[in-house]
Amino acid sequence: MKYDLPEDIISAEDLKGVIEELKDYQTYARHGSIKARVTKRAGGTKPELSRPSNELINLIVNNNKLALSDLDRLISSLEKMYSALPRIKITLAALPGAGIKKQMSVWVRKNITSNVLIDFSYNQSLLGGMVVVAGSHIYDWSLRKQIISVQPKLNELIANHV
Amino acid sequence: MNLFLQIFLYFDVFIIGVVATIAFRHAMAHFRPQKETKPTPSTHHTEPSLDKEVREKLMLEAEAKYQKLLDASIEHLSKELGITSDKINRVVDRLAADMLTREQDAYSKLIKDYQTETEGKLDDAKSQTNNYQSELKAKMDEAAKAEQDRLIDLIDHKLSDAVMAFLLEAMGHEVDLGAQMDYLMKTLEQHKDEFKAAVNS
Repeated sequence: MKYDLPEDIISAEDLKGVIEELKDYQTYARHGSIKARVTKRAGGTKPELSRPSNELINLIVNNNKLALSDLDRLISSLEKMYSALPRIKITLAALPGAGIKKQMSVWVRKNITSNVLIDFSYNQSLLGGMVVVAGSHIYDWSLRKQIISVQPKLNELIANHV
Repeated sequence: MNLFLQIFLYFDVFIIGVVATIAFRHAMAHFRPQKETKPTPSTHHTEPSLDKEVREKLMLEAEAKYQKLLDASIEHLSKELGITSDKINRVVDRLAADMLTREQDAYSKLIKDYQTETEGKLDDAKSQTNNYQSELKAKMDEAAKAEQDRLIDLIDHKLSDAVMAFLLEAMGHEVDLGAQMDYLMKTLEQHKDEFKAAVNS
């Protein structure tokens, strides 16, 4: 089964984090159900789930009940998505904040493809713009490249005026 | 001319030989008088006997005549020898002069030939040197121009590299992503199609 990733799950790392959270929750849920059967008490501390994990769990909850099998299926699907989803790497001139990451990932999921993992990094030497790596394609839309591309014109200018 | 000289020389030698022979016979007769031979009966004829004085007188007259003849011969021979030697000298001088002139002409021609050859070689060498100089000058000018162009190009590039490095260094600090967001989103919009094709491929 395929799930649309919540907006907060942007990068592969984010997805990995959610999978780990769900696995912890799965462990808790499994132990809890066993204890409930044996001692008629819910046991253990319920792990805190992040918003995207909660969003995903809400997708599989039925009549306020969460079936372990559905949780297993969810985790399995997410793991498959982690391996199979296309990945894009965007390098900016500075470390992007959460807002910028979200804005860009929303645009990408809306205009390019719905399920994609976007990894962000930064390189100060870009000065501005970005470098996007998608599959085997590299798109250098940085300010550095634009400045370097006008160097021949600069050479001509210097030659004419010196 | 040579033939005449030879004949004349042979004739002179012949005369000298004759005169020498006569002189030798007279000398022999003078210093070794011959015994009188008795006339043979068949050839005998009666000669009158001469007085001693008459004989001596005759002898003296004969000697005088002989001496006169000898002197005349000697004089004639001397004259002839002088003429001959003059002619020989003249011929030898002429021959020598001819030979000298011929040798001189040959030598002058040789010298002239060598001179012409040397001048020709010098001209060749000169023209080769001039050609070489021109080629060398052209090559040097070309090399100098190429080096000048290379240095100018190097300077231009180094200058532009310096300007680029300055720009990159100056603009590299305090990058504000927030201010760039519009530009970033605009860039994504601009390249949406190729981006989509790359992701979906």
